[in-house]
Amino acid sequence: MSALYVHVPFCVRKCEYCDFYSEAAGERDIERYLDALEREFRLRHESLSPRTLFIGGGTPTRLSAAQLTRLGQTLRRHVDFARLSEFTVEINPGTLDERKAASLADMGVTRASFGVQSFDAGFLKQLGRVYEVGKAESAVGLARGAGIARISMDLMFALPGQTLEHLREDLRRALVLGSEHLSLYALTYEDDTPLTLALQRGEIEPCPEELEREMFSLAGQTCAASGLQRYEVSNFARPGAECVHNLAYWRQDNWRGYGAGAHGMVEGEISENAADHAAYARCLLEENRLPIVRRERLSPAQRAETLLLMGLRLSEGVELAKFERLSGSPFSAVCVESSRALARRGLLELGETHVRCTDEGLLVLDRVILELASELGAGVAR
Amino acid sequence: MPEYDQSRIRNFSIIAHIDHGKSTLADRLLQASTAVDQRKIREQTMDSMDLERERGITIKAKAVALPMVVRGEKYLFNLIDTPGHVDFGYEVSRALAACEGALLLVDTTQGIQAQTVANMYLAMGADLHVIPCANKVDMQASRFEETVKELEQVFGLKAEEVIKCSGKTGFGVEDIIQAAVDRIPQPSGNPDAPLKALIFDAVYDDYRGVVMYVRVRDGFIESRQKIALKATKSQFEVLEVGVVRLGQFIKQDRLDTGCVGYVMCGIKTIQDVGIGDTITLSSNLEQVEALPGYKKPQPMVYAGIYPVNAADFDALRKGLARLSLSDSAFTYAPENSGALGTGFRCGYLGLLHMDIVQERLERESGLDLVQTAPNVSYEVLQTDGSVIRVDSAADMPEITKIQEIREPVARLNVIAPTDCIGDIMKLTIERRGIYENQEHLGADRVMLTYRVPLAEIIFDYFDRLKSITRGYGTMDYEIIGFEPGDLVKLRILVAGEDVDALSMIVHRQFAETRGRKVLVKLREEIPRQLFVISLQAAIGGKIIAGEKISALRKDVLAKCYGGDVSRKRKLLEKQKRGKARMKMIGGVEVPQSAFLSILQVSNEE
Repeated sequence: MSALYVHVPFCVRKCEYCDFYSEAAGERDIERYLDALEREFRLRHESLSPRTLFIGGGTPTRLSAAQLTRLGQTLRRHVDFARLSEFTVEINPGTLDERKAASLADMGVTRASFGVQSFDAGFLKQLGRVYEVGKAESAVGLARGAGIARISMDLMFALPGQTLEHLREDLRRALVLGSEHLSLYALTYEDDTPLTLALQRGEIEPCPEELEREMFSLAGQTCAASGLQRYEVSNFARPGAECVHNLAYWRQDNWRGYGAGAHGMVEGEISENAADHAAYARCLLEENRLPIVRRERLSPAQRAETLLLMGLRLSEGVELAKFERLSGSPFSAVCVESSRALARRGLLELGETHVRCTDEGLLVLDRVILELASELGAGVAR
Repeated sequence: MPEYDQSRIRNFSIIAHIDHGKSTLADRLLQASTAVDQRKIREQTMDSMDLERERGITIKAKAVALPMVVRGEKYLFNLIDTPGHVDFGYEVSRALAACEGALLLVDTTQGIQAQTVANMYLAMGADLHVIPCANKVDMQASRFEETVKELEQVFGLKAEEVIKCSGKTGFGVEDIIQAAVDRIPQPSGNPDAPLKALIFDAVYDDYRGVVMYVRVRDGFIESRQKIALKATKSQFEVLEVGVVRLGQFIKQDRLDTGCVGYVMCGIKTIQDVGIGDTITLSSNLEQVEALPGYKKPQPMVYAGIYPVNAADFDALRKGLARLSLSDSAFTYAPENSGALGTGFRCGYLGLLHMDIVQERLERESGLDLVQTAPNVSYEVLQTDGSVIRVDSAADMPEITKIQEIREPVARLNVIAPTDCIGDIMKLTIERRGIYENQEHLGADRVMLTYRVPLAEIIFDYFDRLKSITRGYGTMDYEIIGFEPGDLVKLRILVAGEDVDALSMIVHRQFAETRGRKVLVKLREEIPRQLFVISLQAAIGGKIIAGEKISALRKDVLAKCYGGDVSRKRKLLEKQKRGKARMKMIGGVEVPQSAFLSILQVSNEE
């Protein structure tokens, strides 16, 4: 088992663009949630010896220092840390203090992923982020001070009203802080979020497509100049500093997920926990059973398709041998027409060991996948 | 001895504009009938198909027999239903030909409407005695006096003839029943003459075969008779005759002179039975003269239907065959389209008929279908002097072989508020309409009459009329013949490939505008793809308009981690289904909607 994910579904408030499950909750909800998490580990009783551990949210640092320590104790009780090489926690810069940073370091956290999103007060307000400008720098300082050496930051671009200049400034400030890893996400308008509603009401103007493409390129160039390479659609790292945990998702290696709304996938079997933290806790603490709401075993064709839709996000692409192992057929045999047409348009490259998207292909990846998956589906149907 | 003497029979229809209360009044007459079990009234229906009920339109005319007691005497009312839409004008005329009288029902909150006029003209043409009924007098908005004035002015009816009524409350229904007895003539005809009966409708029934609805003019018809149809000369043996009561076939020994009822001969296809045809005895088919007015139904509007998956072609053919069993006016023939593959060219009486057939087909066959934009039927005089019918722009001969293209022309009646005259004139002249007449109905309404090419009114004329008259305008039309026009074939090219399914015949004057608008519409309908798509409109080899659809430049999910996989897969499944429904033309994915979108393209700037 390579990767272990633990979810903390609490936030100080929900951001304007976010449709991920997270919510404002009271102290008692949090305590109860930690009890439930402990119970989930105990009931599942899995032998856990992961290479990577990732605590995501929500906002894990919404928890108090003591609560974080409690979470750390739960992990220590149920997880063998012997093979662990990467332990990431997502941090909202506005919620970190010295005590929490110390707690995280005590837990064994080696990598801090900061949800900065922007260094500009105006855009932070637009996105509904709760902290003041300048907090990002001090939070990074706190983490480093506590001994957490590896730093990653999330930034968003293609924001309404954002210019190339704005993005350049954000990148500069992130890189100046010595990040070895950046996640640069184009703003996505998710259904029913306040930001999307504002867009529908015509209160904000979406970023023009051509500008978004320029931002995508600018991000690549600016990072490259600082030694960070694009290794996934939205992720950049110094060679060797890639997020190993996330690579497990994209390469479709096995991972397990704990906590409300967490997903796991082991040998093509997906399991999903109840997303609502109260339902999750009730199920574990009162009914003494696992809060699994869905299990699905993927067919070989579905596994191959999932490998394409995740793996083509990576610059390295999809390993052909792995594709064949999962689907039972060579890639070149089941996606013959579509891959040829995509290659002709300069969107896809078929190498000896991997099939990968060009930069141009990454920009229209969802269409590339649709083309390949349509032929793959038709082939399997035959 | 017949159950009812000829003098005790009254055959009539209710003619009305849509929503003027025809069904409600029919229900009232039904309730008044002595044969009615009140509990069954709800189940009774004169419309047999769901679709008709949903749309509030009756497609197929049928007849119900209503035994009545009036002033202590027994009468038989045969209420003959008529379709309420212009597409079925011929069927209406045949149903009226089976009657001696008609109830002209006018909603007094609305006054006379275009369909009222069209149906009234048909009734007058059939020499029927008309009883004007002013409906909905119980409503606040009722304008009884004005409606009576309109009836006097437009139809020359007398004010004292008008019966005040309300289908909703039942007020006046007794007066209507008495008037039907007193004013509608008894059926004429000679009981001793050889059989002569009018087929005024026919429907197909899975168990019984074709059920013909007839009006016996002379003689009588009974089971085991050998009968013949004048137009087709086909011969049958009568298996059963009877009347319809409460939605059920009630078998009778025979149908006598003046009677209305059904005849079953076990006929397997409805195409063997022409509506309007005359039934005689086989033995004197030649001697008996046909009843006047018979016409073979001639589709005026054509459109292609194609299966999205070529493998469904056979299933589509079966579906069309099934449909045509119950609809003699609908025609279909195999057709090949470079863009769409193999499908069928289908002929309809009009746009409403087309909508109904297409909806039934999709519902009953469950197939994914592409329907092309409709066109009217053309007559082409070729340079060699021959005249051919062309039902599809794709079939139009080469320009060099055409001497003249003729198109169907209709007489259009529009009734609308007077203050809309200017806008209606503008709209109709833009559609190549030629003004014929104007008649004022009271102070604030007007009836305008135009000659207009059918092609110009079948698309969105009615929608535009509704919009410029704030919903008050109504229209009706009848086709009066074919006339030459300065018409050309407009070709549409997608990625350099001729899309025959999108080509159309248009007036030269509108070709460029229409071409440009079609391209704009296509640009909206065809989603951006991974490459630039060129769109062109051409006449012959000359490009008259061009558009481009830019390539898709950005389409990628920003975040996709472990928990997003399921969501992304679900989305991908949906996208794959959408993609599979597209038609590939010149390597371009074209959605079904594109083929219909050009419907919404008009000539106006």
